[in-house]
Amino acid sequence: MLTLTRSVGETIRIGDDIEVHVVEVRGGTVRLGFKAPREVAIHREEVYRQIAEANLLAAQVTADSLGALAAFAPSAAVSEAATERTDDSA
Amino acid sequence: MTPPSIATLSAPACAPAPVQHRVPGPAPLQVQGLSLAEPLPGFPGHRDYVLVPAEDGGRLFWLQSVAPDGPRFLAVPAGAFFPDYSPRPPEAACDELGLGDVADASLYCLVTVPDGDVAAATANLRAPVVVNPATHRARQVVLLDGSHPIRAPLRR
Repeated sequence: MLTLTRSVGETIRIGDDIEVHVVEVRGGTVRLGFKAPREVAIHREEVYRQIAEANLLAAQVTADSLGALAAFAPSAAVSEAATERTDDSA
Repeated sequence: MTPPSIATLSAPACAPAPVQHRVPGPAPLQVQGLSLAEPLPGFPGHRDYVLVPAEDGGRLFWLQSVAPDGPRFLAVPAGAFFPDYSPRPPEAACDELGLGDVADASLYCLVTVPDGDVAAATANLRAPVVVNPATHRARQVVLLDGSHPIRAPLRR
């Protein structure tokens, strides 16, 4: 891994179009600013990892349970309740 | 060349807010191609997907990679299951998708069914797939607001 030492107000450039600015250093915390093309997503590592793990689990869903899952939608419950009310009034 | 955007991890969210997102439907049974601006985290290399209805009610969709042996996800229109869900995607993400107003977006959340236990199924509200329905461009947007759970129970 490349390691560089930078001070507040200094910048690191990655490739042609990504800049990382050291905005503030306080105690053990560093605040960074980023300039990057719009298509480059910037995440905190732990959040990115959580999303990737959730996606990997999500890719394992099978078609077995579609009916049961659809019934969890509150809109389905509402329409069923409306039907029941209609039946009561009839 | 795309002009660079400035992003910090406290970037402003799309205005105006609060917003009500359009619920896709009613029951659009056609297949919609989606071009992802960035692959889903965990699935690099897959940008081209189709969104296919998984049932007749417009509540479940397959987000299927067009690549042979590509991944497939079950996705729910956020509003169909979580009517109070009105996240504010970062401004840069909206700009990139060409969404002038985030209310024009369609939001889908990916579903997980742990160990096949349907009653324990969850949807990822922290990272919705934001779709511009006019252009079919999309991306999974990780919300900066950590109050939206990655595993929100579908059954409530």
